[in-house]
Amino acid sequence: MILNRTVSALNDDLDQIKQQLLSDFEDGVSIDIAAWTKRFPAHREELLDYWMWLSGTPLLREMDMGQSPGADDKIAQEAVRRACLAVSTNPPGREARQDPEFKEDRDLGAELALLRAALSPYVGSASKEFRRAVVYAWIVHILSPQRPRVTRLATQKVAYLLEEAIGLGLFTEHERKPLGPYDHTAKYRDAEPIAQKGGWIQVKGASLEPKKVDAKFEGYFRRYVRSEGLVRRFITRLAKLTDEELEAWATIAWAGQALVAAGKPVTADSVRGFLESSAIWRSKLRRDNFTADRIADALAKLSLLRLV
Amino acid sequence: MNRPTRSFLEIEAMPPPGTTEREVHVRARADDFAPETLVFLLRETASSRNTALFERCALSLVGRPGLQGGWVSGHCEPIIRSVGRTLHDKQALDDFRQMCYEEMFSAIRAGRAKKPFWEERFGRALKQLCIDVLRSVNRRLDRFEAAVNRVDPEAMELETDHSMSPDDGLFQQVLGQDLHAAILRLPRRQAWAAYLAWIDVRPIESENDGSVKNIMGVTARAVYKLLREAKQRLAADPQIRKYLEKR
Repeated sequence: MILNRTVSALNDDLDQIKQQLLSDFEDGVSIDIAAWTKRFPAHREELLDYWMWLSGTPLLREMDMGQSPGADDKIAQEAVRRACLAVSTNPPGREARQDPEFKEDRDLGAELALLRAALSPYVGSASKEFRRAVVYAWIVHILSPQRPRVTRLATQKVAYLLEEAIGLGLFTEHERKPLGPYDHTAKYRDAEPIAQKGGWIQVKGASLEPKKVDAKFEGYFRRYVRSEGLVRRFITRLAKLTDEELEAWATIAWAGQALVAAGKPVTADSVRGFLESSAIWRSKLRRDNFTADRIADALAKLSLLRLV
Repeated sequence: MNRPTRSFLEIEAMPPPGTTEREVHVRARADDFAPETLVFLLRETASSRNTALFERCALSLVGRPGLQGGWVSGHCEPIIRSVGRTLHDKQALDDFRQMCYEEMFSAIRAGRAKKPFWEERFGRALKQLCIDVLRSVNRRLDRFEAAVNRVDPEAMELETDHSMSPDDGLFQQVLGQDLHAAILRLPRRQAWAAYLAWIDVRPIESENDGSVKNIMGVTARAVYKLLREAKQRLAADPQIRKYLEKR
């Protein structure tokens, strides 16, 4: 049956082929992987790799079915909460359409979560202020080619979301301000003044412009962000958003964190309720970037990126 | 759809979709339903965006802490933990479990047309997913190890010291499980060559379909090169070095 499938259904086929391979393994059928790779040469590498891993696993009937998490384990419950959030915010069938942006965001979110878990505290002599300035300037450098103008608002929101994504411990001073989470110390005390003095950026009113940097600067940020490629992908993802969208994402991420901390569900309605209860953010609900649909859409994307 | 008999009967016995009776029926029996029935219900409730009933079924599928401190219901954890048993670090195991659950709900929400086997053989579908997640975690961990400079410098020195490379005889002394696990930690192409040559014990250069070179679709010379590199890396692997030290 598998052999008669059409080439146009190859992606689906791979899933089915792997399921059949696993079924044969579970049923005790003798498996010669050479026969499988010969039958499905287009999937040679995937099948070979999959088989190498599958062959080392215990059979389902031999697994210890008594294994369960500790009573205080939150992982399964958290997964249920996120699944419910996805059901309440994503249009039905969206995942089935294999939306490329959906898949990219989901993969990026998973990798950011791994990096966050793998990051050990910074050990080195550079002050926090200096490191903030380097990463802040680097954000400007990545945003710049992708936008006509890099505003302070955009840089601030990206710094906030980056902190939420990987927990660098650098951008922890954000407070509730009318245009969303904002870190006034970055402007007046360290990030901007140091970055400007270092010649890495130029401040022109509310805009920040990148300036030529040397290899030493590149060495700094690689050391401070640890996984340059991944963080660059994340910032590049955020660069696609307008300033208004960045403001909404950062505000909704803040609201989501606050709701989780209070043990409340995170839904478009509960986020709107949170904003309504905040004197400084209540007026946002009258703006286009905070309509119920926009909040639901932002929540779905933030959820994929594991930011709520 | 080849639904298991038990699941088929459970679904047949339900009141009509969209009725209060059905919701009451499901709420009362969810913990006793077969996992395939729960997947069916999760898909139904997701498409009608009935988040409350979706949550009820999801909690029966993954389990939840009981009032007496134990774990109630659930069909996933033993499979996830058994596949991830090679992850000895608690953080790595927790990350793996989290990704398995995320991917599982994503696959369930992808729908019956795209992923029918979740309603046919839940255990097998979940096991396949866990293996794929473990493979991707392993590759990502490798990348982050490099990114955060956590590679053991001593091991890297050994890696370039050819005199420490084990000979073929050594692999007969290494316990099969340790060798298999160490091979899985190798870069992909080296791992395939090592697995086929040393675990499956296949000929390398034979023109037979079952030779390592033909399965991998490369030349014999390329296979030997990969095996040489694999040996050097294995010699630096702590699980294999313990055998070297015993010699």
